[in-house]
Amino acid sequence: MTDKNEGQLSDETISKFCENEALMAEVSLEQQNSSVPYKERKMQVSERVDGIQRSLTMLLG
Amino acid sequence: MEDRIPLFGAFLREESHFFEEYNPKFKARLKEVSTEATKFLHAVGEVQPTAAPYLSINQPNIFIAVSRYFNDVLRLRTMHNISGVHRTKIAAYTAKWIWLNPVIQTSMETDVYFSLSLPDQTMLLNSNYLFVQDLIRYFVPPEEVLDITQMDRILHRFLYMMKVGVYEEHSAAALLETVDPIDGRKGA
Repeated sequence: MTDKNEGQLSDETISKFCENEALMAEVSLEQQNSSVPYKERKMQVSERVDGIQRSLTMLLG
Repeated sequence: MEDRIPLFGAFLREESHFFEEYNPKFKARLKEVSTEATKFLHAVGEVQPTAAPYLSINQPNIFIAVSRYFNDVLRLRTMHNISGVHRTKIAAYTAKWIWLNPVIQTSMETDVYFSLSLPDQTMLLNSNYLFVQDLIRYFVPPEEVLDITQMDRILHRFLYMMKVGVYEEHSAAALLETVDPIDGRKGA
């Protein structure tokens, strides 16, 4: 993709690219800023023990 | 915004732009990880009681791991304007730093080690990896994910990635997001 001006990028073209890039960045960042809130919680002992056993099974087969 | 942005450890310096907001979160997280490490060891005592006495917690490494995590958060905030950190990112980034700065450690003579059963040896050799998995399950509760079997597969993949040294937090967060998406969900 080249400018008509003998392949030289014009300031106008550069500005358009920058504008589009900024717009796209805003949209993707908006999505990145969505989050499920993190809550401090009390993990039950049974849940924890179950988790450790599952992980250990991954290692032992 | 400050002209010079002190990202590394910025939340530790009282005069820093970020201190007021992030220092309390940092302190709370330090205590949280320390508590979870202690509870993890108690749970190991139920699963592998013979191995448990040989495990201990490295508190300085908790400090380092949590500090590094908050450096990541500040970088996301400052460079990318991302302030809402989804719990999959919290899990994935924290996992990285604990993998690199082991919190659960063991110290024993080799003849004692080899006198133990294979499951005990496995527990001792992999205790920090198991703690990383435990923490991920803490941040991303299995009962709240879309597919617990898939989550197990993902955690299994993380185990492999860490053991061969290729774990990477961005792809880890993306993998976790497949079972705990940021949007399009009800509840949680």
